Amino acid sequence: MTTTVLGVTLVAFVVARAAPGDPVALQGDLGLRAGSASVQQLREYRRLMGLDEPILAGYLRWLWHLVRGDLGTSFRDGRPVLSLLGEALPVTLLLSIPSLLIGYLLAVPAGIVSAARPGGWLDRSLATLAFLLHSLPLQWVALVLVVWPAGFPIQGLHSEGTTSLPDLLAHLVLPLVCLSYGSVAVISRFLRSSMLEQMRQDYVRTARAKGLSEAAVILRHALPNSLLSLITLFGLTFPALASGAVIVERIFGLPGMGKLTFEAVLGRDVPVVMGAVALGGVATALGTLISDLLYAAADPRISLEEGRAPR
Amino acid sequence: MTRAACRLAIVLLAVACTRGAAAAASADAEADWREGLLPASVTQGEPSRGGTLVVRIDQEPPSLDGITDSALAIVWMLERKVVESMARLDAKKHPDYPLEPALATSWEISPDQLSFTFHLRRGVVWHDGAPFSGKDVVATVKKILDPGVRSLHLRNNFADLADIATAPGDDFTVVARYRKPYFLAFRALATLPIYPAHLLAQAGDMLHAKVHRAPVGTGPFRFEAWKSGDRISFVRNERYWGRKAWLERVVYRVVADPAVGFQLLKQGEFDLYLGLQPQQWLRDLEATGLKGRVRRIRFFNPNYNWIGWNEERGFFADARVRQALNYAIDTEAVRKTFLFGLDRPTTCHFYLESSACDPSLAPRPYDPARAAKLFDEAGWQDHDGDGIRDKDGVPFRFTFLMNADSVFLAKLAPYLQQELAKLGVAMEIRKVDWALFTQLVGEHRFDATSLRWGNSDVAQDPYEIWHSSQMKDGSNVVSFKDPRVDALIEEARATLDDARRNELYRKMGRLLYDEAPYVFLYSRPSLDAVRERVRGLRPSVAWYDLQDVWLSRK
Repeated sequence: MTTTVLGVTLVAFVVARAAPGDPVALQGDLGLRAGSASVQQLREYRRLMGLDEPILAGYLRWLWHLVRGDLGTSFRDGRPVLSLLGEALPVTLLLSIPSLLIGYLLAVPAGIVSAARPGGWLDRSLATLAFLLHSLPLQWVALVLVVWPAGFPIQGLHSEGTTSLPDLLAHLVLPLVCLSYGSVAVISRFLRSSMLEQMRQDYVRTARAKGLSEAAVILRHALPNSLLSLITLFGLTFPALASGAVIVERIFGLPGMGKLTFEAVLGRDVPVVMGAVALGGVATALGTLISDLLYAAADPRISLEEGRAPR
Repeated sequence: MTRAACRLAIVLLAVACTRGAAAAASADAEADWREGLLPASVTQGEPSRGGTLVVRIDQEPPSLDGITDSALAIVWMLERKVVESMARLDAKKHPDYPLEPALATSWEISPDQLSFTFHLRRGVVWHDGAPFSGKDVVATVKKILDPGVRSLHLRNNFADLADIATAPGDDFTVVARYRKPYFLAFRALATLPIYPAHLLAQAGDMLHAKVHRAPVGTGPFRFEAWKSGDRISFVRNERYWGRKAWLERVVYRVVADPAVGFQLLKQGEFDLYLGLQPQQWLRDLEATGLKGRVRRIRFFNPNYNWIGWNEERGFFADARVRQALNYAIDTEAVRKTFLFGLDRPTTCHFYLESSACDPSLAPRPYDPARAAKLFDEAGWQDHDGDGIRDKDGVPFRFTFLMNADSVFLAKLAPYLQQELAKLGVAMEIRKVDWALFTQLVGEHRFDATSLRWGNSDVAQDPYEIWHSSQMKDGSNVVSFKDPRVDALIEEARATLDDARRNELYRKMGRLLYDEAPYVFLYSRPSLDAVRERVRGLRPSVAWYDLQDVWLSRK
């Protein structure tokens, strides 16, 4: 896990620092102003921002600060990166966790139903729907939802002067629709194909042969085995929970991780980019860990103890 | 009988008159709507106290600290409203905006123009209750000069400051002495937003101080709250030294997406909407029935777009080539098709309505024949018959560098490419993101590019854009070099008399016109909309004075 985070952050740091474009020039503001920066003053800025040191030395310094729990301060507004992340991450989690749950809750039944009668009318209409949803561009869907007079709020997390739960939930409706529809399509198709693969296996034929009902065959035999691939998918998508959604956050005015990271990249705000990347690295490692644990829970052949793998 | 007929005639006449007046008024209203002007009635009537003004902004400022950040949103929200300066631009005197007293009641300039004395207003208190004095002015300037503070955008204005202090035994007189006479030195000091000394003392580099995001000033509004990514609000300062504001609160709501913002405007969420898209301003307001509920505002701040030719490149060293390139562009067609005709053409470096501009310099017309002739005269002819002009064996082939985000340039660049191809000049287009773009332009690593210069004051010094010394460190990115222009700029810097200085600038404008280092394009308007009930609003280069704004109760 540490190796993952180290590798990810080293690559990110090198890329962020070596990327063309100069945060100092951005701060210095190429504007028609009464006085613009002199070269000497720009040099002084670079020193204040720590951009004058070699990249590797800069990385080691960043790492040393990280170990002590300090992610530095943003070039843009001078605020500690930790508090920027602390503000943005809850907003992102508020969106990503429910959308993940909604995604699986809708997709798993749809996938099972499709796999139960492959080629049936239900399977075909679900397939059409899934492809339709999957190909709708997010930006377009979001703008349609904004212009559509659905009565749901289209901006922010709260109405002026209230912090009540119903108000918050109303604000979450449209962003969650945007964030969920695509994943429903993907997950349901994924589950369907892995179910169908299982249905062709000998043990399913055996289960049918011994006279089990079709429901029992599907739910008790094929489904648990199909879950393994779903867990893999979950492990892969887990880091996205913390990385935010640029388009949805921008349109609905939600100050989450996507907006923070995107603006930091555009502004070459190295400390903020690095903070977001470190968080992403931790989330990736965590995702792998959780999916490993889930494998063990879902499949008795996989054990967490070393050296006792089935021969 | 006669009398009755007479009375009848008078009645009819009166009806005709009112009809005529009503028609004229609606024609006026129609013209105001078309041009984006506010009718005079907006600033008339009896103001009433109270109410909240909700303003849409599209981008959150990085901080609320004018000392470390130069974002326009900070200037808009804070200056004249929350923080104040010793003198301020008189917003009623468009387009030259002379200074009027604010925190200073009067000032004197010494005969040698090197020393400025400001007499400050007594009885002013900061929003936190501390009294204001000349010590605050001195502390603010010292903070800007502190090398550990990120205040480059202000510091150069004080490069020639020898010393600033309060008069001995009098905290309400500030004396600043300069090494050289410089017209902007006075204006920069007089309009510098002043911050409280007692808070600056503990603020360090400002970035980590509370005042960085929660400003304390002396203005008619004081900071209330900032909800990150959502809204920033200010409330009326009940202890203001001047006439207190009519509005109770001002709330700036951050809505980045233009479609969402427009939807919220339709839902009546905003009183003042800043930064409409051209199509929204031109068509959507009317199409969605907002006409009558809101008024359109189109206002020009000091800014202009230009296309610049890097004179370090051999192609562009000859003025005839630069003029030819100017004749090759149909700027009027570009303005009408790509910009909806909303921008205004200009040939001047200064604010387009300022006395520093010479109105007789008209934009060069579209004249490809003349362009071809000028290319020929400069020696750029197609000697080898490959369809591209060449000179001394070098083909006329260059790259146009542009910021990939620019909607306007995405349309202009292919047009330019096409027009120049017809004239035997090969242009390639290179798009890069803003961060890289500023770096490349700053390092003069481009052949040709386009950008917009903007300024928040009408008075400005062309030194850093056009003086040949600014090729290295300043913003003379096209490496323009002309001793006559240098001399005029230097003379103007030491001329504190506005009329005399504008005379020099008009001469400079003539030279720039002939040398054609830029194709001067257009000045871009700000396109705003305001709810009908908002009164007392007056657009100016100092943005809107919210102190005078009230909400009609009707």
